[in-house]
Parts: sequence; C-alpha cells; structure tokens
Amino acid sequence: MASLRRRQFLPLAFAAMTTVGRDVVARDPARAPTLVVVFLRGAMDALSVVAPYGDDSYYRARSELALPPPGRGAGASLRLDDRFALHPNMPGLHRIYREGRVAFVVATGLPSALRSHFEAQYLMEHGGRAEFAVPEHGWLARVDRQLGGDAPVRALSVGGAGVAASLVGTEAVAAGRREQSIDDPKFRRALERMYGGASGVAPGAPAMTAQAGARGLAAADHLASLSARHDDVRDADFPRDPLGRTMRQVARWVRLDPGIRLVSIDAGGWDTHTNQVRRLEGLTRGLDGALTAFVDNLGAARSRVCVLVMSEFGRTVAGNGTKGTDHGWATAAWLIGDRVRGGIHGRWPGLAPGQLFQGRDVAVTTDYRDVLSAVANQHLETPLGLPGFRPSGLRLFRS
Amino acid sequence: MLARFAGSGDPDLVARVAAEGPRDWLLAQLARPPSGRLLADGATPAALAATYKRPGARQRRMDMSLGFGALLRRLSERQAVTAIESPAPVEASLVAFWFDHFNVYARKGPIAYLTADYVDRALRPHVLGPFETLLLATARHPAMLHYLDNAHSVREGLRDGRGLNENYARELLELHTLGVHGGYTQADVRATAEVLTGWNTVPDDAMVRAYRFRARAHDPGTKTILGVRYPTRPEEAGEAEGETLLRRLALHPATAQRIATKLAARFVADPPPPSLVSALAEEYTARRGDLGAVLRALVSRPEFWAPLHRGQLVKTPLDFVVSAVRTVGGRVVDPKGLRRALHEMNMSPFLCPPPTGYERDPARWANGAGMMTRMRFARHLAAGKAGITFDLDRIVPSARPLAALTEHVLRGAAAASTVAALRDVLGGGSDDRGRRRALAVALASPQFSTF
Repeated sequence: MASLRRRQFLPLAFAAMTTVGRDVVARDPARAPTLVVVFLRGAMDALSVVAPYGDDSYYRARSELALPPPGRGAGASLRLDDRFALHPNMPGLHRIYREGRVAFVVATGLPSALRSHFEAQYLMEHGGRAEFAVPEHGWLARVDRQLGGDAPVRALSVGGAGVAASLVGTEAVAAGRREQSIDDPKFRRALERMYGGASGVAPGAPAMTAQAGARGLAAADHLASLSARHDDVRDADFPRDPLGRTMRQVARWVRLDPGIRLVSIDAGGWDTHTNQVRRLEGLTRGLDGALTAFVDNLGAARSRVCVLVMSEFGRTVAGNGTKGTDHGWATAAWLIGDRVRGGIHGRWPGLAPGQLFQGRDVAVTTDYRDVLSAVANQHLETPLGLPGFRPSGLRLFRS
Repeated sequence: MLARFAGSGDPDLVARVAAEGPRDWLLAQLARPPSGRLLADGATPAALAATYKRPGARQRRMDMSLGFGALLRRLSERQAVTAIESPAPVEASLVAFWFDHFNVYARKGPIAYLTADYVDRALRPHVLGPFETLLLATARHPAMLHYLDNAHSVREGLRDGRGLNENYARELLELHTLGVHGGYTQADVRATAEVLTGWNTVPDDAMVRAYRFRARAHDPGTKTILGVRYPTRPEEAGEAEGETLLRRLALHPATAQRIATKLAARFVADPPPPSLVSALAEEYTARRGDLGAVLRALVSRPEFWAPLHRGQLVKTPLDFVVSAVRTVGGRVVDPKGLRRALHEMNMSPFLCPPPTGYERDPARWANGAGMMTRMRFARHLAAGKAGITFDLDRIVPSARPLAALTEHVLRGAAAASTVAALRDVLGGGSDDRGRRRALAVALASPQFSTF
C-alpha cells in the first residue's frame, strides 16, 4: 500500500548512509558494537536516582522524599560530583561511574510534555517528536536496517509482551519468556519441516510468512543453543528477580554471539504514585544489582557493549498526598560502557519555583532524541536520521 | 473470499456459501441490515463509567467498582469474540476496517467508556451506507472529539489560554478523507479547524461527555478551504458550515481515490490493480460515496476473483486469530487467551495510539517473533488449551484427516512442505493427539497466515 502509507519519513540520507553500517559489519564481527536498552517503564523518578543534592531547592521542594546528601552514615547518597548523588542502593553503578564508565544525562526527555505512560513510551520508542508525530517504525528497527547483516539473531526484545515498540519493523525476536517456547518436540519437528522446505516458495505473501517463520524458528534454536553453551557468566551475581534473570540471559547471549547487535529489555514497576521511598529502595537495589552483574559478566565483550537506561518521563518535583509523586516531564538517562565519556551531561534547569515547567516539573533541557542519536552515531556508527530532528551534537562517547 | 471478507468459516458455513454461490452469498451479506453489538449487555457509556473507575479516581469506601484495566481487557476480548461469533461476519470485517480508518485510542481520557458506543452507533450502522454519513457520525462522536481534541477547539479569544486545536482538522484531511497527497495546504488545515470550532462536548451524566455544537465557541469569520468559501451561504453560518465541509470532503475526487485504493488493498491485492481502483473510484463518485455500492462493485469485478491474487495478503494478528477460531468452528469459553495472543502479537484491539490505526503493512506483522506467536497460538487452540472448544471429529475426521486439513483449513493452498509435515505428524494412525497436532501444523503453516 505504498501509495497510502502515511508520512513517508525515511529520509534520503538513510539510503545514502547505510554504507556506514555495512562498513561496521565488514569489520571484525567480534568488535561490532552492541547496544542493550533497559527501558524503565512507569516513569522513573530521576530526582531520587540521580539526586541534585547541590540544588538548594531540592530539599525545599522534596522534603521527606529527598535523598540524604552524600557523606557518612547509613542512607547517605553516593556522590557523583558537587551537584549530583546516586541513590544509596546503587553502589555497583557508583563504582562503575568512578571508573569513568557511566555517562549520566540529566533533565532529558520528550521535547514537549506528554503525561500518558503508554503514549510517551510509544513516542520515545519510535523516536517521535510529539503526540501523533511518529515515524513508521521503532528507532531500533531503523538502526537495525542500517546495520544490516545476516546473523541468525540481530535484535532481541526481552522481558515484555511481544516485541518492544522500538523494534517493531525488524526481524527482532521476542525471547526470554518460558511460555513462548514450543515444547512439543513432534510439533516442533513438523514446523521445521514445513518452514525448512518453504524457502523455495515463489515470492509473495506466503514466501514472506514462510521466511519470517523460518527466521523465528532459527532464532529460537540459536538462542537455545547459546543458553546451553558453557560460559563464564556467574549466575550468582544476578538478583533473583525478573530483571535479574533477564539480564543474566542477555549477558550470556550477547557475550557468546557478537551478531546480536540490539537488545531491548523491559523493566517495569517505576510508577511510584504511593510509598515512593520504600518502593524505590527495592527498585534501585534490583536495577543496580542487575546492571552491575551484567556489566561485570561481559568478559571480553565488555568493550563492545553499551547499556542505555531510559524511561518515558520523570515525576513531579513535589510529592502527592499518598507519599508518592505524579507524572512529570524531565527524567534522567544513562549510558554504561568502556567508551562512554564518564560524567554528568546536560544542563541542569534548576528546581526553584520559577525554574519549573508549569510550576511542577523538572524542565527538559536535552531532547531524548539527542541521546538516541549520540548512541546510534557514536557507538553503533549508524546515521539513525530521525525524521524532523537535527541532533545538537551531544558527545557521549570518546572518539 | 470467505477468509478475506468473513474471517473464514466452519465447514457448515463453507458448505452454505458453496451452495448459494460465493458471489451471491457475499452480495446477500452486503445487503444485510446492521446487526450485533460489541458489548453483549449493551451497556451505555454512563453505565460503564459507573462500573469501571478511571485510574486516580477517588474510590469511596465500600466501592465495589472494577478498575479501568478490566474495561480495557473486556473491550479487547469482545472485539475478538464478536468477530468470531458474529452471525454477520462480513459486517464484522467492515467494522474492523473502518475502526482502523477512524481510529480512536481507548486509553486516552474517557474514550474507553465511549468505545463500544462509537463502534455500535458511529461505525456499524453506516459501513454499507454513504461515506458522508459515516464521516459525520465519527466527527460528532465524543470518542473522536476527545481523541483528536476537537472537543476543546474553540475560536481564538473566547477565553484566555484556550483556542483553536488543529489536530482533528489535520487528520480529517490527511487520514479520514483526502489523504496526505490530497492537495491541501496548511492554510486549509487551519481553516478547516476554524470551521469546526464549537464542535465540542459537554458533560453528560456520570462524567461521560456528549457532542454539542456550542455557537459561542464557533469562529464566525469567513474561511476558505480548497478554494471554497465557508459559510457557502449566509444562513449556513454555524454548525451547518461544518456539515457542508464534511460532505464536500466526502465527495472529493481525492477521497474517492483514497477509499477505493484502501478497500482494494484490504480485500484484493496490495498494491491494488490500478484498473480495480479506478473502477471503484468511479463507482464511488457515481453513487455519491455509497459504500455498499462500492463493495458490491468490488465483489463483482474479475480482479477480486482472480486466482493470481489468492493467498497474497498477509493476515494481521486479528485476522489470524479470528480466522483460526472460525475455521475450527470454535466456541469461546474463556476469551483471555485471545486477548493475550493479540497482546503478544502487538495488536490489542482499540489500543493503537496513533490515528493511522493498525496498519496492514505486512512487514509489520510477518516477522520471526510474530510468526512464533502464531505457531504457539495454533498449538494451544488445537490442543483445546486456548479457552476455546471445538469438535475435533468435525474438523479433522479420523477417516480422512489429511484431506480435511488441506481442503478445509488450507483451502487447497498447502505447499508441498506443509503437506509433508502434515503427513509426518499424522503418521499411519489417526489418534486424537496426532489429529490435534496436525491441525496445529495446518494453522501454523505459512499458508494459513495469508489470504
């Protein structure tokens, strides 16, 4: 239906620059960069994770929800610099930060406030600008097409239902859910026979479904064989919760197979409208444990893998009536990797009453698309080229 | 034909269609009065609002109401179940088609309460009527008004901080009528929004909103759209201006072309044969947008029946799930499995955020993960574990299991590799488990995912 397809966004630059992706593939495959996106669904309260303790307004506006300043004593936050400190339950990330391998981007988010979780996630995963100004495919799908290559599994979506919106439009494979495996061996053999013999089908719709099914089966096989291989991933390092288990599995896969270039991981539970302090204690501990174990277990793959942690928006600066916070605007994102420019990036807009967006939210000073573009251009070496967006040139990686 | 227009059918329906003649059966279906409804109990928006509370709504003590998520789940399930069980399967396909054309997103504001009403009163009665009636019904429905923000669009200067909202006007031109290359400009979008100022909603009982034209909020100026001045006559100033505009848009040649193309791509081939599109567009114009007439023309054209196009469209997840259950003559005992399958395949009914609705782009659906989910659903359904019961002996009789599967389930389209796989699974015997597994293989085949 090409004549009908809405908003033909794919820029000409796309076709012209795919060669960049091809060059990357042509290089030593073991050095091909991999990106793992951890999407914190529910809107992470950045003010409790990367706390601006140096901003006086933080303690005035936040009162009992604020993290204690860094220093001695139980519960003290972990100093990043003179302005920001990490949640006390994230010592692993703090260690990696001190090694210069974490780049935080503060006050980042959508270019205009949109306070619906689902719509904001949908928009971000497509690399869109505003409600309904959405490119046709996910931003990782766009990158996947630019990377190309013929690895059995190039992209993975793990931890959610189906394929993450960012990967819709690729051959991405949903994995990591036990109920998604096909456990009847006779059925499985019949599928292989049917799809294995389907490659000779004349072009057309049945060929499309045949090839897609064959790729799905091959990918599932491939992942199962990776999981069965001996490796040095230490299971005990990972928290025994869904995110920990997912990241353990992904560590194994990306470590053993450099053909896997893009992974999207869903991590839920961040919508802290009630009892935020207590809930964040568990959430930050789980996230820190999973991220740290992941990075520490990558072995030689560590130099080529980058983790991007992001969320759809931040939360109100002031608390609500149920010891929680409501939907706000800016949040924080961070990158973990050997080549990132460690430190705090982005302009801090301030939390004084006159500095807040609509008198309630942290203002966005770095468009989230700048972060995506930096990862795509500087780590994956692909053009990305989000429609209607010109990156500011934010540098998050060492050249 | 049955697969594309009616989500397939069980052996009884297939036999009935063969006896009546496929074309006559279809023409009869296209002449049926509207029937069926989304929610079996016909609950009104107000009743739904009283039963299901929105997130953040204050719950009174002893409040026995259900959560908002329960309503979204129920709507999602009903969309699959009504398509499966409808006595008017062609109507059900058309309602789904027009919902995607006039998409609304049930998670936005109060739309979940209004979705069933929108489907049953703005879409269903009009899918075989004049397009302008359908267009006007959607334009005035509070679900659409809320979804595309015309509910709040008022003339500039009415009150501080409020004014024109172009969202609906833009999508009206781009998606509902002319199409993105339909020859309009940003100035036309703006003027369209001005014509439609005051097409708002007012609070109804129980927090649900209803359409009302608010004359005070309407822009009284003169607007020019596609070279036509509105109001076209002085006495038309006000709500009638918008009606005239919508009627003119409905009958515009670009709209005729767009609707003809979309219907041909949905029911015949994508991209559609140009000869078919121009014939349908001509019929559309000659019959002043009569959608029943256009569809009758479509099923009377040789392109529709050409073997060349058979099996060349990829089923969407909804097409797949509905046709699998209808093919086996399944009865839905527990709709959870249907909803979950659609969710895993990224096509939850009524939950598509952008106004394009779910697109039929095969690249979106024919991917490894999507096909794996289809295979698992096929296995669950055949094993009787999908919350659906059916009569195995009727679908895969032990006397001739292979023939029944290739003829009834695969409609003669099975590839050699599919037949070989079916033979393998059936082996020499015809025990219950073998037949169920073979049915799963047929439903999981590359051919069953196309029509």
